[in-house]
Amino acid sequence: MTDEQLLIDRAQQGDREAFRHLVERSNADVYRLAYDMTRNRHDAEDLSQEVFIRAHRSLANFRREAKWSTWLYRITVNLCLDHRDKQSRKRMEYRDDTGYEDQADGSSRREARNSGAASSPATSSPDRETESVMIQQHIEQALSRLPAQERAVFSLRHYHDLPLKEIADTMNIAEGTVKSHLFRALQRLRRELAFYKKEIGPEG
Amino acid sequence: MMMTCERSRELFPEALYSELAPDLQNEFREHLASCLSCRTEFEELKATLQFMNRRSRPQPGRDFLESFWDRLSARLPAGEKIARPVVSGGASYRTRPARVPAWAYGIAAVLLIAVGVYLGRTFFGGPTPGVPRNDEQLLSAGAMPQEDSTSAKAVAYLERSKNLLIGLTNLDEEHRSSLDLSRNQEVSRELIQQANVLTVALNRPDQQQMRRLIQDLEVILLQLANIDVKPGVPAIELVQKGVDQRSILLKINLEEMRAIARRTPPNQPKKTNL
Ligand SMILES: [Zn+2]
Repeated sequence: MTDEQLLIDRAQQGDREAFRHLVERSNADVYRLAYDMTRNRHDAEDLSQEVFIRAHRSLANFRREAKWSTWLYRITVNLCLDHRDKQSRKRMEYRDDTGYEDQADGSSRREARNSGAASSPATSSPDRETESVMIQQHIEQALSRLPAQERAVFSLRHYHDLPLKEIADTMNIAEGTVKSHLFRALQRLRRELAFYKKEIGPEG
Repeated sequence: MMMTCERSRELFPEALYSELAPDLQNEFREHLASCLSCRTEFEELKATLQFMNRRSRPQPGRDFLESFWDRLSARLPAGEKIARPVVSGGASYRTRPARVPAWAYGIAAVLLIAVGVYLGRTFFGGPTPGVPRNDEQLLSAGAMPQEDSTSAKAVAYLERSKNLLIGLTNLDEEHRSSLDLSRNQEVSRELIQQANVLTVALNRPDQQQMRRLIQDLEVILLQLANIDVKPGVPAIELVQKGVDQRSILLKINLEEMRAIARRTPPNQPKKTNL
């Protein structure tokens, strides 16, 4: 039995400390997925808590063959999609599909500028730092513009390293659908980031 | 025999993430080698993915991660039943939840075993700690006079403190690692707040001993509430030192307390409940 299975066994028997270990080894990953899906720090934080409350509630249903992280991602995806539906029903009038959050990137830009200014002119390359911040912003923007399902698939495959089959299980959709979502997501990203043709282009 | 462009493109997602079935790999490679349009698109998508690797992943804030469990566990159904008196009052302890590495639990338990065994012996009159009973049972058993509500509250308070400490000390090897110290610290803080109120209320000369007892216990509870172990700094040693120095163990004696309670003059009408 793996360490993880042992913890799950104990958590299922009501061992709080075991559950705590399970929470603390995966809450950052759950947060990142929730952020990728909601594009909002505050929502991602709230939803991460909600994920573990649900996980605790349905701990008895967890099958030992399943993977703990995959199971959590499944709860996360469902909660985030529900959350998004509620949000869009609530805010029919003002469309903000990009949901692009300036705050996070704004602060990193400030940091980058500050660190650029602080270092000596001879060795610093503020242009390079500014460029890197720009790239971060463009990447986030490109992600924000993906439809929710495609973004979820892309985040799970690219950033959470879930195999396509597991994504299908996680999102409760056919594997073929996962592949077409992923393909479309990749094509969109390529178009969105065409500005970086020099770096993305096949010949470098 | 030759793979179609349509089929080749279907395989892009798998191929890009190295999930392509082995029996398809050769065919796929051959198609790309002979089809410029598929090859170009495939290479562009591959480059896009490499570009996406330059993303700085969203990082949850440190506060968010540090307080995550405390906030979560407050919303989970309670695993164990610990009395949570609602008492407000000034508090001098730090309220920030302490993060304690697992090894500290063992030390905390060892340290408090002495307290627990002592309390168990003195509170229950036997050589081994008994099964903790709740306040109501103890009080309804007639062990304590109920005439004086402050004294009764003090007894209930001491009982809760005892339950907390015995709960910590009766841990067997297996449960030590699963001890929820932060929960115990939370209860400690509540008890400390109660102590502040009680020690003011216990103002009669015949209540002085009981008051001192509560103050002594408060020192242990404060130390428990303030356990804050940083890596490489065993702060819990300070607690142990503090407990030894104050000789608190020698002062806590339920028989003594009961004797005090019995001597308490019944200057209030008898109440059926508190
Ligand atoms: Zn082709």
